[in-house]
Amino acid sequence: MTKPNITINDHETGETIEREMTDDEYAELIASGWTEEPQDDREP
Amino acid sequence: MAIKTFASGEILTASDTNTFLTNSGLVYIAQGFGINTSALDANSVFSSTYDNYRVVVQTASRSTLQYARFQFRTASTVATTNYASRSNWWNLTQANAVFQDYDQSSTAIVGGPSGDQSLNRWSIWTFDISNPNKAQQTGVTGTGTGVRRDDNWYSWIMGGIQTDSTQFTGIRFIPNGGNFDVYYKIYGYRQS
Repeated sequence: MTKPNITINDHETGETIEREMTDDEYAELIASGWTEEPQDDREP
Repeated sequence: MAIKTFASGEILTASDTNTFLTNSGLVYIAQGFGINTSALDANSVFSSTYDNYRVVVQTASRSTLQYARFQFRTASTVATTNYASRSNWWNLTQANAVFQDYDQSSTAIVGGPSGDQSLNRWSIWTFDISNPNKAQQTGVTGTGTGVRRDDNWYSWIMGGIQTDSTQFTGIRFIPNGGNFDVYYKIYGYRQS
């Protein structure tokens, strides 16, 4: 399964990374309410 | 740096000038962007150098029904709980700019509708962050304006707290789903 992309700007090293999310990063994103197609999931 | 007052005729040295440049009202820290991404991390932007920060962001959605949000992070983890955040939106397309919509979340700080990349219409927000790098709750207050994919224009006020006593060093911008484009600039408020 292809996971979403993440972009990381590290301002200490000046490095920028664009890559597919790791399992942990994907779990964080899902825990945040993110869905592949945005849903109107706003809490009342 | 304490505020220094110069007397009439006194020479402003290079050292004094450089000191003022690095301690002006808002001090530039970092900028960056992410294109067609589901998350954008800005790492190593909060430190003990400043208590309070100004962040200027513009976003453009790659999906419908998309709202822009953000979270605080350390070098190793992202805080995904213990937020209390709300934004109230006014529809500027209607004659009386009525209050019409909102976003609210316990997993992120919420902004507003995240623009429309296909129409090159951006949403722009400006917000202040208080004490992200201190071992206490972190506060956010701000405003924004931009377009939603229904092509209505909104302005919004936003606010929230994150109640962990974590000393955050970074920020993660996310949409509520799909991908978006994000540009940000971060400044620190001069301490004294």
